[in-house]
Amino acid sequence: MNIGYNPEILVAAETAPLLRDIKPPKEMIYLEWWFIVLLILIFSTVILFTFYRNKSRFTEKSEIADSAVTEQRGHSNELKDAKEIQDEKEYYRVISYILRRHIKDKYQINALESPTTMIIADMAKVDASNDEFKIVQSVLNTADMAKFAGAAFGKKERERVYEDVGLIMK
Amino acid sequence: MKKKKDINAHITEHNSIIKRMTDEIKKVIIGQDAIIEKVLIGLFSKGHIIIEGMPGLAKTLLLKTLSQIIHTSFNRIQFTPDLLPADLIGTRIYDRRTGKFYTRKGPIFANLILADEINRAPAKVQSALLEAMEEKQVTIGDETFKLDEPFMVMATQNPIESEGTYRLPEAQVDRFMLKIKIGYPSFDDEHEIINRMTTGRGIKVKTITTPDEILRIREIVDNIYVDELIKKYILNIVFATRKMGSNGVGIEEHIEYGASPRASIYLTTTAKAHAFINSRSHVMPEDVAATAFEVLRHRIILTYEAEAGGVSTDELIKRLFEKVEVP
Ligand SMILES: Nc1ncnc2c1ncn2[C@@H]1O[C@H](COP(=O)(O)OP(=O)(O)O)[C@@H](O)[C@H]1O
Ligand SMILES: [Mg+2]
Repeated sequence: MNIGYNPEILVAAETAPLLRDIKPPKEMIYLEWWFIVLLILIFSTVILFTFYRNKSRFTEKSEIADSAVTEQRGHSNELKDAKEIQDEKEYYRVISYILRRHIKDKYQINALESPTTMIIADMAKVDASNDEFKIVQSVLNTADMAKFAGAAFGKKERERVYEDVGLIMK
Repeated sequence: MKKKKDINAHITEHNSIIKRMTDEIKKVIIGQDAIIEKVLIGLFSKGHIIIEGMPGLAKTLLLKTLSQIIHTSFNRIQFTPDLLPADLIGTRIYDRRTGKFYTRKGPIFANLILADEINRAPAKVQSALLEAMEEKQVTIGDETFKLDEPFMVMATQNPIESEGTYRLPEAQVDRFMLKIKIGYPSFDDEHEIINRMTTGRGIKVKTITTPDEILRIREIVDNIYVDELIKKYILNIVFATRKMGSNGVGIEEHIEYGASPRASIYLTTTAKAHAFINSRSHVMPEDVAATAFEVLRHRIILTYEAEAGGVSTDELIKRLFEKVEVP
């Protein structure tokens, strides 16, 4: 049997690589394209969204800061309003309230619900300056006398207390 | 004395007695300073007091010592299961020779009464005592006798429920202005107790004051100034213990019955006495807080759930004072 040149076998050998190069059907390629576009779209949406969220968080933060400022401004307005209160007892009641709320906010002391002796004891534990400590002590004691003992201190003392509280709340 | 401007003079005049009384009591009683102060507050604000604590914490000794420093009639009544109301208030006795009845007054006729271990006597005897405390008079047979002023009952009670004891129901304890709880002494104080109590020598105390002086001090205390702001503060505290009309401090859920108006009255009178002790002619918020536990703890009735859950009235009172705004 002649096993030399066999054209049939030759043809088969030449077509083999062609046959192995399997390409996806045309529709598949088309889909993949869409897929990429879709991915890009999703990706960009996510990025945009995160960006927006961060941005809104930033604005929120600045809003908090803003409200703190307005609150502070509100408090000092209240102080100014208190200055106009004619009745001495009521004046000291309001001043003491404003000062105690300030201490509560600044040092997380339960100042609105504590008697003066306790506030002073708690103030000694936080890092309030010596001046601040002394002023708070003197203002609250004066206010207590006006509120609970019916003491009348007069105009000078009123002004001194007003300035002291203003100094503390600055 | 009614005028406000000289009340301060009266306070300075009589206030030194506080220190002398306290010092004398402290010759016998070691430590327990807060308890001594509260007993004196009760004395000066016309209240009856009940001291609760474990046996052996010097409840009897403290009250006996107090009675010794006041030059007055004092009776100690040991409450026991077989005590009868007549043993306390007295009885009508028939005299065969004269064919007449006469009245024998019981030990309740004294200025100071120590009702020792009140929870050991049956309810009938307890009610007889409580009635006398409330009405300041006693009926024997068909005769009514006024009790002498000052009239103060100091009771002691052991918190351990044991067989044959009849712990006073809270509703009855309401008659006592102050319910004082006495605890164990500190390490150093107990060290001193050993030193002082084991020498074999009895400690003698002097009489420091008289019933008349007590009555005068009570009058001064009556005249101590309580501002409207303080009254409202007291009302806010008492109303916060009630479900109805409370301003929601978050303790109501544990409370079955809130404090009665007696609480408002006694917070005010004891605050005045505390102000007097501290040489002040006006009441401050700290005076109200000073006896808050003693005035309120037996006037707040917990719900069943709260009691089962281990909530204590003292804990609620503490929370209450952290929530109610000070004027
Ligand atoms: N704080 C204290 N100071 C002095 N003695 C004390 C004190 N606590 C306990 N004792 C001693 O304990 C004893 C018991 O006191 P007692 O008045 O009989 O107690 P209670 O009536 O509380 O059961 C006293 O007589 C005293 O010797
Ligand atoms: Mg005893």
